[in-house]
Amino acid sequence: MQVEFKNVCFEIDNKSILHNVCFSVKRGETQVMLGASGSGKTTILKLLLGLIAPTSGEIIVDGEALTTMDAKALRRMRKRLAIVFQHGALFDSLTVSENVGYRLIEESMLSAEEIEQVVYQALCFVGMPDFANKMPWELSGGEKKRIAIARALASGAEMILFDEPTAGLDPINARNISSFIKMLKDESEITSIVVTHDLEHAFAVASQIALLHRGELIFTGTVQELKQAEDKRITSFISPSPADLVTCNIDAILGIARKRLESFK
Amino acid sequence: MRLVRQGIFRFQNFLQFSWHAFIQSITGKQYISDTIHQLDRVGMGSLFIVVLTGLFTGMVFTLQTGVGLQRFGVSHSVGKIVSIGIIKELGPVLTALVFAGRVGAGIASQISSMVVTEQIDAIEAEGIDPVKRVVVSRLIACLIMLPLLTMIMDAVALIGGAIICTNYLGVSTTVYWSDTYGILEGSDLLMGIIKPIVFGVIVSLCGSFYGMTAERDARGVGHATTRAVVVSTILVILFDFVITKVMIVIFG
Repeated sequence: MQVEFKNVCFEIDNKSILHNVCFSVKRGETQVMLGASGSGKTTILKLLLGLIAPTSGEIIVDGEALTTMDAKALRRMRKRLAIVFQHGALFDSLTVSENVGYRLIEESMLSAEEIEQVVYQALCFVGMPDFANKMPWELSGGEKKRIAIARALASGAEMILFDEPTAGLDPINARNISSFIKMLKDESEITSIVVTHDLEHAFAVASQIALLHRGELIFTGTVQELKQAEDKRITSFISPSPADLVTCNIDAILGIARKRLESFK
Repeated sequence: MRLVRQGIFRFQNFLQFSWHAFIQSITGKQYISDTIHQLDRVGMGSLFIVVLTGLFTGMVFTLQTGVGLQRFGVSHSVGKIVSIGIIKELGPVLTALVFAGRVGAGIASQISSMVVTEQIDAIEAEGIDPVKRVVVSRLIACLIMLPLLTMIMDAVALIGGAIICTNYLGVSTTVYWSDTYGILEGSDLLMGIIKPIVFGVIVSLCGSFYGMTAERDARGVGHATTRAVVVSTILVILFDFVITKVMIVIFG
């Protein structure tokens, strides 16, 4: 599956969220979209899924413009995609195995045994074969994300979108997720788009990397090229100097705020 | 002016949503097991409160009417008034209001929570229509269950009336029940069954619409629930008048 963004702009209430975004992802590549919080990374995934429509520009999926697709064509296209949401977005009322096999059960084109086998293999891939009968509320944040990856994999999608897959996870879980994404890249033809602000994770999984800054794409290239870039906006993101960090006068805050403690003494 | 425009726009969206839900409920794949689950949740879950409301409404309505009729010395006719009042008006409206508070709020909060936790986005991303997947089973469940609950409410309210008649008004049970049956015509029963069907649609669609269009934060769940209950309550009362007027014009 190949994707191309051509001069895509997106606005909400006259506020520009994305401005003239252009990039393309080739079959089997892992494209990482880097950027600070609020830079428009997740918006790119929502545009690609057709959950929102661009204000202007074109999104081309395998040669077909997403913006001109009718509801049926859009649904058909979505069946070839899968997304791992930031918080997993598992269905509360279904067990882990029902969540993982959701699309297969919905389409009812495979037998129950075949679905069970796919679900088991997908759960093995993320190292959670014993979790099949658990409910989503019994899982930790990291486990939910791993199940969401298993769900995406079990759907047989040609492209998987990852929305902040390592956000809020401990280093071990984050490394596990990175290795799953890397395995997908190395062992299958699956194309991935990974949206993250985690540099270590981004560098570990990326074939191509793009950097968003306030809705504008300021870099596309390889990890090596990104590390060598001299644009101040890029260097301040990947290796911020003390001058780039937000400074504040803690004494000024505490000096006033602690006055309230006087009344308790 | 902006508020009016927003209101019209939202009403348009509601109509579009309702039409889409209606089309989805009669075409394509149906989620039978989901619908059965919703029938159980919506119906059995509301049974206790409907029975309780029906019993006390029937008792108090009979008591008030009976005492009033005693002043004219015609308290033996109480069964006729109670029967018409309950079957045509109080049964359908009260059941719908109780239903809106319990089931409508439940639908709105459930769906809006799914919006907040991106589960609706996940369904859409799977290439599945969320209206078909989430709304249709609730719509069908309300459409079937509200008329059934209304019948139960009617029956229990009439039994409550019988208890009061026998114990406080000195009207015999035989007279009460023969009056209750005798006064009813086909059009009365028709009105008593058309109203809950319409109210069932209103409650489920309001709950689903406000749930689906909730803001994506914790506040959104509260707002959606409140709006769903308020709007469905207003629409139930409004449509109660409209249906009554139309039926009177048709059947006299």
